[in-house]
Amino acid sequence: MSIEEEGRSRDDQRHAPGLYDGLSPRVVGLVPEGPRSSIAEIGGMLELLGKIIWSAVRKPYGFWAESLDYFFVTLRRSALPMAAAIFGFLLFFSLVVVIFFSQAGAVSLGTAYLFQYGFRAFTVFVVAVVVSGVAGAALTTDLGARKIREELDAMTVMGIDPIRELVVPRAISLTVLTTLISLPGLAVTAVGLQLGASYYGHLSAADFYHSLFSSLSPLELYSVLINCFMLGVLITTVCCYKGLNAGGGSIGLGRAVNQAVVISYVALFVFQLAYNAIFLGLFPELGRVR
Amino acid sequence: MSQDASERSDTPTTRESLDDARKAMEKAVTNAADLVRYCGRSLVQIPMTFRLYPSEVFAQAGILIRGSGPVIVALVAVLAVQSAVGGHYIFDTPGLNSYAGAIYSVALMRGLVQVVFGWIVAAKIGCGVVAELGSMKINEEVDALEVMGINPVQYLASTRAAAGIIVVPFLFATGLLVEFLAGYVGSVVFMKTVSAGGFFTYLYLFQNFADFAIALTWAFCTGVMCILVATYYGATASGGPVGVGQATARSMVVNLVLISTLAVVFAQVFYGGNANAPIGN
Repeated sequence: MSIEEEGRSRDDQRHAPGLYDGLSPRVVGLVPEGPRSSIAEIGGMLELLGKIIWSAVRKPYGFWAESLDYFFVTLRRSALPMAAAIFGFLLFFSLVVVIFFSQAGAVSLGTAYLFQYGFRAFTVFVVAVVVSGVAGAALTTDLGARKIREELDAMTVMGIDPIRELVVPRAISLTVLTTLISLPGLAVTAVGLQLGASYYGHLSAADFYHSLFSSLSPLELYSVLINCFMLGVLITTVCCYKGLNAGGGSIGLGRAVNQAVVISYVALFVFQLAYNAIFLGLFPELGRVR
Repeated sequence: MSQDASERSDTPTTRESLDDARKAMEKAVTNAADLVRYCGRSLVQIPMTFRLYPSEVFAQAGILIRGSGPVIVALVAVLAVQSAVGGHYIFDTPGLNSYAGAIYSVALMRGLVQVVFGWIVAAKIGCGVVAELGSMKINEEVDALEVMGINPVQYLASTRAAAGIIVVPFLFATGLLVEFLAGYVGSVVFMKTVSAGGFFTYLYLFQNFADFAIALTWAFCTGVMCILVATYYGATASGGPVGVGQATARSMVVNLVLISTLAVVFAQVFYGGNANAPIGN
């Protein structure tokens, strides 16, 4: 009996499980290629998110100054386009609907509804879309460029954790940015609606703000902040993952940015649907105008 | 000298920061002029493109339909379902249930679908075009085309713009149909805000052909503009792989701002003086 045969028969008898012999690898093997790669991608994103949170929570010091710097840089670089995109969208949104409500003669009643619906669905939405398109794409470019130039590998070789040094400050600053920028977004929504209501519906500002503030509750503001925070985590994770996994030269980086933005949008749309359904289902009385 | 410069940059005087601002503004204006000139050139050459490279135009159109169509339509459907959920709680409490169909023909069809369509076109088609053309530019394939006597604007930019002109209206019309159907599923089947008959009554009561024509024009301008801007940023990418990534991100920024600006202009031009609603008429 040759050595190979002996080895094989011993394997048959004991069947020592190899690395890929378990049940889960076999199940994974049954999944077709398309879904498997997207599931693997989602898994990679969750793993990255876990690493970021673990790294930030275990040693919560040393990156705050850099986060602040990065926050400032992002804000200085992309404040103007973000403001233009958000303000333009909200202005247009309020124009269209205020015109319609004024035709129906319900401006004074309608604007409060409009504001609730507007900020719940669209302020949060446009903030997230613009942040992921402007700041998220820039983040993916930044990390992807480092990956392509092999700076990340160099850092790893030198014993520096790229996630700790590069990703954590950026992730924190982008999440905080998404959360905080919803507040000026809300203010812009209110002012845009008021301008539209006074221009098209001849509603006085006092009436508008009275009906607005009498039908708002703090819970809604908290909900917007929580929603934006979650969206910030989502965008950050997708953009960081795509940046860290960029590869394949120039087209690879362009494609990474493309995919980061597209995946952020898809994830954001689906997440918003789920969030609104759950939040409104839990607090249905929020739609009431008092 | 360099030390001098760094000391000065720490505490910029008013004159220096004014100079910086002026330079930045000059650069922005120059870029915008370049962008407009490039887009104009690629638009002017579209008839010639149809004569010279029809197969390339239709190949690009096929890529748009197969690669980007499903994502665009799916996201528009998600938008409609989300509006159904939000609209249910807004319309249900005061007892306006029967008007739920108007959400889709007023709030969404008069701009929101077009803007969201524009976002997705900018992200999916636009960024893809920038990545593709930018890497061609970096790998000097564009120069090679020029050496071979092929006009790169005609062959690369105009073909994509022409493909967009062919595909975008149909893609948007499909998206609109899917929006109505998804709205039906959301409002009638899931949320049970309104009955099927009530849904379709108010859905079609609040729109007419003018609305559809406006929506189509709006989406057409938005979509084609996104593709044109993307071809410009792809064609002017420079500075290695990093440059391609930066050009992709920058095209996204410009597209987002332009989509919002265009939305304000279109809303004011088409609906500013005339709400086109069956109320009080």
